Amino acid sequence: MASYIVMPKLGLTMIEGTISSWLKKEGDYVTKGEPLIEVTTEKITLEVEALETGVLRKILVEEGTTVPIQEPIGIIGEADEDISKYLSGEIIPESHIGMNENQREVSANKSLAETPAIKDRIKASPAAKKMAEEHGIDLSGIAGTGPGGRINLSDVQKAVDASREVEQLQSEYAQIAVSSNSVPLQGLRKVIADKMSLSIHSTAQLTLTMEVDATDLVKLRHDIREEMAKTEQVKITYNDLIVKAAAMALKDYPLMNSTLVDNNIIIGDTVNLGIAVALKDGLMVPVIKNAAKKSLATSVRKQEIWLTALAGDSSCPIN
Amino acid sequence: MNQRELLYQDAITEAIRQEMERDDTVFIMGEDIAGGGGRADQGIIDSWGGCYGATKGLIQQFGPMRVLDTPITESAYIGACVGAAAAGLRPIAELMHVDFLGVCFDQIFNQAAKFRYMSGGKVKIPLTIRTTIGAGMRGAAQHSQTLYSLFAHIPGLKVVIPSNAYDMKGLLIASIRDDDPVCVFENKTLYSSKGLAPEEPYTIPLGKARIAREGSDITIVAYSKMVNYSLEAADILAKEGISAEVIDPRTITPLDEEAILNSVAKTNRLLVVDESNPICSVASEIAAMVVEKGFDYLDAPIKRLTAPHTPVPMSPPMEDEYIPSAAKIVKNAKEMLG
Repeated sequence: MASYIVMPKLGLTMIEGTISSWLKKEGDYVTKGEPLIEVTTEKITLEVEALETGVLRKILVEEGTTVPIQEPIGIIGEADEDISKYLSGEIIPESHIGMNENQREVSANKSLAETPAIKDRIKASPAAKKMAEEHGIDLSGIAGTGPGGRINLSDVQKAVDASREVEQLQSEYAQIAVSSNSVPLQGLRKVIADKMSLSIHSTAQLTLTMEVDATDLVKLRHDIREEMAKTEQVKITYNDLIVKAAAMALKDYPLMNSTLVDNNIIIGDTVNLGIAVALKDGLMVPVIKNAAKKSLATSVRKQEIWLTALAGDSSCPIN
Repeated sequence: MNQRELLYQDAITEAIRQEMERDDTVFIMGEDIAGGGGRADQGIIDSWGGCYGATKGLIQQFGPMRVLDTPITESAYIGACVGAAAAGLRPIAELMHVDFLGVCFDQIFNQAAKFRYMSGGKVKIPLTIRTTIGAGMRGAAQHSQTLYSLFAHIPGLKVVIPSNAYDMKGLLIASIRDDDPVCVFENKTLYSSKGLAPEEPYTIPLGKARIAREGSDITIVAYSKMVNYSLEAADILAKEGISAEVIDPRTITPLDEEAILNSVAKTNRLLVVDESNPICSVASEIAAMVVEKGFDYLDAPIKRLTAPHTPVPMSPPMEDEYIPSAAKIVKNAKEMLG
């Protein structure tokens, strides 16, 4: 009997796949286990083997097309078998049994963006489930090594061992903290720590290191230094120029000037630029508000006010 | 007790002889069981003792009133035994091949199995039916079946399946002494196998499994000849680092559920090996029992390794392929642990 070849589910999170190539032509004889298609998912490209032996009667989905998993992509059967019922849709693939026409339409047209997160039933042996429950292990975080990716006892045992190791390390650290000199986190350091962790969770964090030719920067500073000193009574440093350049760059790349609030990326309409200053008691971050709109001179003055305020601390390197 | 080696078939003869010596109400009936005996007046003093020689010599010791040859009429002599049991005797019936049970099944499942229940316990049927099972003798489809599950299905019957000489003797004596109808299934391919057993009479309680081999990775439950194959398989598996526990429940009804569940709790895997056909089989019953009562122990789906659902083939290569083998047990066990 003929049957549908469907888009396979190649990973836990896979909801659709692209046929990158058919390795057989219509009319070719295919043996079970023989490579049949190449499928590209958002992660990888894989060769997929035929699940049945027969003749590839019809290719339903051409190369380069993306379809949801379980969607029929071809028909395999006997060489002389009548497959008209498959082609007319009279025989529906198993994955569609139990769906009505509308649902079928939806399933066929679903794209990645419209598909809600699929909650897969986690395949785990009864013994593995029980053990996970006893040890408070979340099965969704375990990769199953059993047949068909089933989570078995040994997989849970590994997770249990790993969590024990973490617990042990934590208790060792706790002991070290108690036994050696420990300073409670409070006051300024606590504020700094809180702000830093908030920042990590709410902004895009990245560090880029590159070498640039600063000839023009040096020339610019040289050219305007005296002029600025005369007309605006400010002393231009490289720091001032870098602050200005960063503020201008952020205007051009607004996504870099954004904050994550709940599940929304809020793009800032002004550039408020922090400059980290290392002091003896911790890191202070004076903020130049609306840095992109401020003139260079205003920005420099603002920085100077901050630095003067901090000048009481003799360890301030800028001072 | 004094252990010595004896044949599985001699364990049967010895059990019957000792019970007939102990209890005057014990007698035996069947086709050819006197087998040419009882003719001392004609100068013939030997007898072949049934198709497989399991009752050899009994006619000489106990005479034709207690060792009765019957015509080829299973329904008549099984019925006679049920009547004798109801009247207070303790009969043993030999049904040459279980394949012939069709003609006497009414006597067994409607009469023997029901009397005690329907009489409110006033009538007991202390009947033992001995019969043979097993393929491998080139006996074709009507002489090779392994039909114990049919009996296990009937409430009121006890089903006993000894796999070796020691169990054979102890279980057969326990069956003869039991006040309910008991069907004892002898594997015809095991008659010439040897085992150690004491000379003295002894009993093995019905419903008590034997752990034939201890192990920790997989539980193999098997009956009759399949126990031997499972032990062979366990040897092979051990060489590959797999420790298989082999359990021989020895009786189906009653079934030692505790022994099986305890083992699965330890190994988390169950393979049931059954020479019978798969559908509605003892293998299915044990698998279902473990799923119901030991679900949380399982780390892999239970596997049933049985004969295919076909009649036993006549062709020797096909018959050999039909019977579950040690190699197949190894293959299945490895797949389950894979």
